[in-house]
Amino acid sequence: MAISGFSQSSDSVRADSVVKHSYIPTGIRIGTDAISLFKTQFQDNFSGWEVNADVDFYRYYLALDYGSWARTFKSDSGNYSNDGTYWRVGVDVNFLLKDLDRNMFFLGARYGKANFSENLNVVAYNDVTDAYENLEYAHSGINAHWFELTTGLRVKIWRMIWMGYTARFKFGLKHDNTENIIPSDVPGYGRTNKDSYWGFNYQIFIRIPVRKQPPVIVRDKK
Amino acid sequence: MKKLSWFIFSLLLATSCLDEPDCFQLHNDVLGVTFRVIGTGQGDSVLLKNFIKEGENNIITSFNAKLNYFEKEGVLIFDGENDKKNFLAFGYTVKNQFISEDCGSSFELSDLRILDHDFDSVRIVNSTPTKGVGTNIEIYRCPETDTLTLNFNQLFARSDGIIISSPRSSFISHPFESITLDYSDIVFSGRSATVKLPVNLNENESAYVFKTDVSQDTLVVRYSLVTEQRYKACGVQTFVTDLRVREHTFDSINFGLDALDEPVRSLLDPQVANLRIFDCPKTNLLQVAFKKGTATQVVNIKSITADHAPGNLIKPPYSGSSVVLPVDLASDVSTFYIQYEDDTIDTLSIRYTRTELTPFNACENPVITNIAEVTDIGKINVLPTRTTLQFPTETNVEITVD
Repeated sequence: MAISGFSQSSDSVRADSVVKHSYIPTGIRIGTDAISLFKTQFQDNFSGWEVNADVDFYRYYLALDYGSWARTFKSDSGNYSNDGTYWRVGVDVNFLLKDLDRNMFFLGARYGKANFSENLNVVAYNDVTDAYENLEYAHSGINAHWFELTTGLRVKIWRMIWMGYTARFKFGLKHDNTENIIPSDVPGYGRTNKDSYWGFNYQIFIRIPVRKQPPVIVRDKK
Repeated sequence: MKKLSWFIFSLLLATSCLDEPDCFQLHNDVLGVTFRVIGTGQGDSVLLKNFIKEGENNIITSFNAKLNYFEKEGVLIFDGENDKKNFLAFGYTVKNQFISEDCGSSFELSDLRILDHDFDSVRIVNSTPTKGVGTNIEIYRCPETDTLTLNFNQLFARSDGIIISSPRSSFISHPFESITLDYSDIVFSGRSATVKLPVNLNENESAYVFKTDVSQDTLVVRYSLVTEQRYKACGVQTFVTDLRVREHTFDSINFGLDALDEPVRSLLDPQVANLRIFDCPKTNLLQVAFKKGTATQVVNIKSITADHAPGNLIKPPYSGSSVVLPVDLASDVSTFYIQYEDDTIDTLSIRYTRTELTPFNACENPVITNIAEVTDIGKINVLPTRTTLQFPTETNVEITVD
């Protein structure tokens, strides 16, 4: 097997025969979710952060996310709050193989897991006693897990700086069977009152190269 | 620009998926209970006292009960017929879930279970209480095996004296003074189109006498008895099968049909009609209307007598604009004498043809047609389009009164 053709630029070659792809990683991309930081700064009921990382194996990327999430919901009849951490692991598949800047449009999947605590206090009217009752519940060490289908972009902005977004279709949530409370919000997943849920990250990355990238292969058009 | 478009599209996609939950009926705190009969599994109608409203009796097949989500157990007390009381104790799990800032939290009830009861049988069909629709618990009672169900029907048909048309039947209620079993016990009295009568489970035959203020009929049924345990909760019971009619004095009796159009020869619970009793249409009823000019006229009548029928054909004092009179089925002529309140008398003498046509095979009385006056009297007019007697009746003759 051989690569034949001529150099088109420093990062691309023209190919007209079978190409052997290299699955050795060329760099690690580490970033954070700007939306979480923005919400922490400007929303009273949310505090959290999320770190994202991926590493390439040719067109496949091993993706890891780790985050913290604390949320408070207030209503006239009571308050709910939770606090916990979560992680996700999965694979993204890049579909922009010919992009000279190595920008990335991907589809992928994740498995997510969270560990969190929650508190709920409720003021409710009791028909039998004809009085309002104040109920307080608290649980800690609750585990939850779920799956995600992901899609998004990674765009090289300048030198090592990359930006991107990830849209997440979350489903298959399972959580511990807790006494007295049904979790309303799971860190990393979101609200639990639906079978599926959409999530969205707007991310800023730094890409640390670990070896020289192989040239982009551009096939001749017949 | 291309990159910017991607991001805007993505942001719109993300925000479009945010929606608020529905705050209506947050708690699933309704327990649905349905009454059924063991064996057929069909719905049962149960009379309960003071159930919906204090002092009222209600016949219900199912009901919803609101559960107290501050408790984890509940008891339902049923106050039934003949001061019979039953209870059903149950437990459930209560959890709370925050829904939204607007809605607050909801109580989520689940894991419904039976703790105790004194019904024949009870089962959970859905362990999650609902928001108002559906059954959680089915309460079963053992089937009653000794109830014979009869319904009464009136047959109708039209005729022009040549053919029969529009045959039909409808339920008709009879005012029973009494229905007795085996010539002794009164097992029913009152007005009804459907009667449920006990059969004698010690014999293979039961005889009934039906008395109204104008008639008396008898019915004797035979059957086979099977004693066995069909349902564990009910123990050994005696079942009635192979029902037959041995004799009767009604116009006609048919077996009721089940969903497969098969005769219902077993006594079932819930009861379905085992026997359908039919009254033949009365083919000899002549309707006479009173007129003054072209308008109907109310008249006061002391009596109406006929050569062929003894006594007064009406209950005096009678006031009305029409009367129904039975013509003589043994003759081709009938004469009626109508005595008004002022003692004047009109004589109505009509002739007619007794055809060989009968409205139904089981009915003997012939269709009466070609009605005409025996002697033409000016004040009496046989309506030319109504010369055949119908049932229900319609005006055949008009009498002009002063």
